[in-house]
Amino acid sequence: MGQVSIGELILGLHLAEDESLMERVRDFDDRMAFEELVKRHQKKILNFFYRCCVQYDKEDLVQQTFLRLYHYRLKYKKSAKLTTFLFLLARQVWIDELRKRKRIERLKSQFTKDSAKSSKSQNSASDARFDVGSALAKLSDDMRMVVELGVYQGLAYREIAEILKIPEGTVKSRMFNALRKLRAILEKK
Amino acid sequence: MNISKHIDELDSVAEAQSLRNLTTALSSVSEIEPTEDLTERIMNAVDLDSKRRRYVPVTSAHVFKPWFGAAAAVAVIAVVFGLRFLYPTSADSCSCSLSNEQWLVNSQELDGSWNPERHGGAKAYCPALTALSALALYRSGEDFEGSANSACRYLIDSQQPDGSFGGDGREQLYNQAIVTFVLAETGQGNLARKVALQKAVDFIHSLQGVEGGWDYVKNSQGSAAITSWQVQALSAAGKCGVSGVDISMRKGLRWLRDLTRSDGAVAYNRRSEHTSDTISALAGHALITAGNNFPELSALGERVVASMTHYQSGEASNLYRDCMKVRALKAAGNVDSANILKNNMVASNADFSTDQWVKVGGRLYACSMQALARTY
Repeated sequence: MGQVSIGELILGLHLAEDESLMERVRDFDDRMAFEELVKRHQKKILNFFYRCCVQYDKEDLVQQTFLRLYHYRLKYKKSAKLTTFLFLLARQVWIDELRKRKRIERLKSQFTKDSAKSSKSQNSASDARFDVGSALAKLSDDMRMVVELGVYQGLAYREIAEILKIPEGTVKSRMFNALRKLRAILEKK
Repeated sequence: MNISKHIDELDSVAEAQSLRNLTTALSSVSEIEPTEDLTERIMNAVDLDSKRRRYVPVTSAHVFKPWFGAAAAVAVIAVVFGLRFLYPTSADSCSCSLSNEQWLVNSQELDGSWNPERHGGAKAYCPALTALSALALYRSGEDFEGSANSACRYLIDSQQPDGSFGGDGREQLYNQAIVTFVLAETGQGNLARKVALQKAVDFIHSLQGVEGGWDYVKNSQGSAAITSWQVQALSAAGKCGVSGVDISMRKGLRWLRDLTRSDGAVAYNRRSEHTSDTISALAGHALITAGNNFPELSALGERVVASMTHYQSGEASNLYRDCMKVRALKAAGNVDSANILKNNMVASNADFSTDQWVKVGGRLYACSMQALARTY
């Protein structure tokens, strides 16, 4: 094994691609590499849950997502982007959570209620967030997921199809319908 | 294909522009920020989970089937009883060796360490005893890997900015060498450990005496036991890819070589006539393993190991000495003697309260030494 200086090691960690870091986690149970992955992607996952209309426990769901990623480390294969894999896990966490608590309707209603209360005292930036958030809440889960992954996460339709386990053509039609519906909702406001 | 190309493909220019404006509006909404300690909480959860090794269903389709768990439990019990019938063994030895590892797992603190103070020992040796317990579990197989990794992570996290692992004087030297040795033995290729190892090795360099040995007080005449541990730590770290260990390690090996008497025993230091099997086991192992690129040093190490006394029933308990002897005998190729001693250690019902090292680590020390010896 070649000799490695501390500088090279630290530099390597920050410059390494997600997939290389995940391989280190898989092969060597490298916690520093895993921590780097958490730092890089926790905000994306947090906002994913936020836009899924989770108003509390968002960070718990982020934690569960990364725990699942850690559990999966030994089975990880460098065949797709790690972010694709991560969003697949996040979606599974979200579905499991919905099934477990059976509270999707309560979340939706609470979201609307909470937002309505707070929107009165908030500024225009928050109003915009509320408008978009409430519009997203009115989409079906399937549509909202496509918008989340395609618009907010910037994933290619092929990756979205892989995550949602649907054909790419379905992603395309779902996206089109979702955007038209969103536009209609926002135009009414 | 992505959202942008999809919109570009639309026939109606007005429709495309409208949807493009919509996606821009959606994207421009500000995002929320994670709380400052989210990363830390996630990593703590990973650590705890790793320790508990609790199974969490990965797919949403997973459904736990109680009958399947019950059937598996029955099958395991049947296999265990079947094996015991086919291969009857001493009940003491079997249960004792198994319970040492389980006891270690059960007594591990939430942060991954072991606290000797809880088990009748001294807190000052927490790093060294945590490291030895981790090594014992690491070498005991995959079932205990989670606990071992958790302990190593604790050790890395507890490293001081100067590379040390805590303690003063005598404790500091043992803590430093043993922790460095164990991190290197259990973490080849692990980035975090390499960084910690490089700092730990730099600290070991800074403590080396001018003659090549290490002692509680810098630049004193040196101690064979402490020097043996530092040499082994440097050797193991070097094998992990840590740079700059060679010169320091060779000086240490030369220092040990010069302490070896004509009968093969190793003196405590240059002015001492005192020898012991513990020192010979440590020095012999260091000479054989760290000196493996120098045939004369390996041969000398084997002579040192051969000078150790054979096991005698009824002698006072000293698990540290015996564990080090087992390891040295195995390294020297004397498998039969190693197995006799090991079996005696594992099967022994001796009263450990008289063991001279019990005050250092209490039951933690006894369990880790027995579990570690079993792995050689």
